Amino acid sequence: MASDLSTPPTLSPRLQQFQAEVDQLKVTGGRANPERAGRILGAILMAVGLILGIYAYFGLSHPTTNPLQQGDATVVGLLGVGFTVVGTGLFVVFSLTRYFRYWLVRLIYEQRDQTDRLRGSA
Amino acid sequence: MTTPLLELRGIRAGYGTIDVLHGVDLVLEAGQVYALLGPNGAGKTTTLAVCTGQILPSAGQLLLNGREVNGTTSDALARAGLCLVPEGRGVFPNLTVTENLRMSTYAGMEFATVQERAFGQFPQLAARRKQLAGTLSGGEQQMLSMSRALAANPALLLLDELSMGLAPLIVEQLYERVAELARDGVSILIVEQFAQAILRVSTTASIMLRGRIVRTGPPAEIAEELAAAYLGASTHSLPA
Repeated sequence: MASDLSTPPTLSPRLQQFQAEVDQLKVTGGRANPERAGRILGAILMAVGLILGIYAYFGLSHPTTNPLQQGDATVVGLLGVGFTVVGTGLFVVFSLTRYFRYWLVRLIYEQRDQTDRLRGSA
Repeated sequence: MTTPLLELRGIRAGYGTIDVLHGVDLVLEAGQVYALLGPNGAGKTTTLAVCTGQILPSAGQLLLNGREVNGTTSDALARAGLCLVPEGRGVFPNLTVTENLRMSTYAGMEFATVQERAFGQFPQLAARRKQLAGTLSGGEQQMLSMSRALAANPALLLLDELSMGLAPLIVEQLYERVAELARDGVSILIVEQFAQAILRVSTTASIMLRGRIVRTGPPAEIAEELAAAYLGASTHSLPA
């Protein structure tokens, strides 16, 4: 069954139509694992919050007896705690989402596999 | 040099946390019949799933006619003219042949046109139009699956393991049809585990191993290297 397919045909009307339709496609630029960005943001917030807390105590509050500066340090420290709490929440939520996505994919795969085996044995 | 009809650049993709494709590069020019060969588990079907928008790549670019289309939905790509004939005969077994064909009118095509095209391509389906698809022979189911895709008048046809579970004679007939489609100007990407029939109709072939394309070239050259690749030769020992 020899075939002479080595020479590409000229741009057919169908290909021109295909080009036009591709140009009109709505492209979202989607990526797999959309949770990744959330997990990274959560981890960064956790780290930033921790650093702010330590800095507020050792860098701002501890070296001074000025109550005004210590008040500022308290605000910065609370901000750090807030960042850490929010960051931890984001990290946990997106990690769980990722895990459950994987679990669901695995479940679907196993169900399909089981169906194929049943069909094969019938 | 013309813009490739389909191009994958450094595609990484997988299922959940498991990556299956580790940087796939593939170029399909208009009018080509591209054979993607590789052993079971190499990532061939996953590559097709990325091409049809069923799996989002975690990295890399999917380009159609030079335009990046990452994230485009499968139905939008199908409407544009990128059709997949899936592995394992993608028919509805509890529907008749006619009802299966009716399912492919989603793109707004007239049912009469769909029937005419399907029965024109595969006359034996016309005699079985009222039969349940699940009771057809393997070859006829594959023909029905192909005719559904062809009814949408595809510009780019992706075929996944067309020969799976079929007698060599039927496989030969199906690939005759594939060659005719290519002559009519349809560009085709075929994924296969067994290369005998496919290499005779293809214009370019690649070997895929462990989620990477390790060799691309003329089918005759690829045929010679295939045995070594399948029998576990190191990917580094194959010429680039």
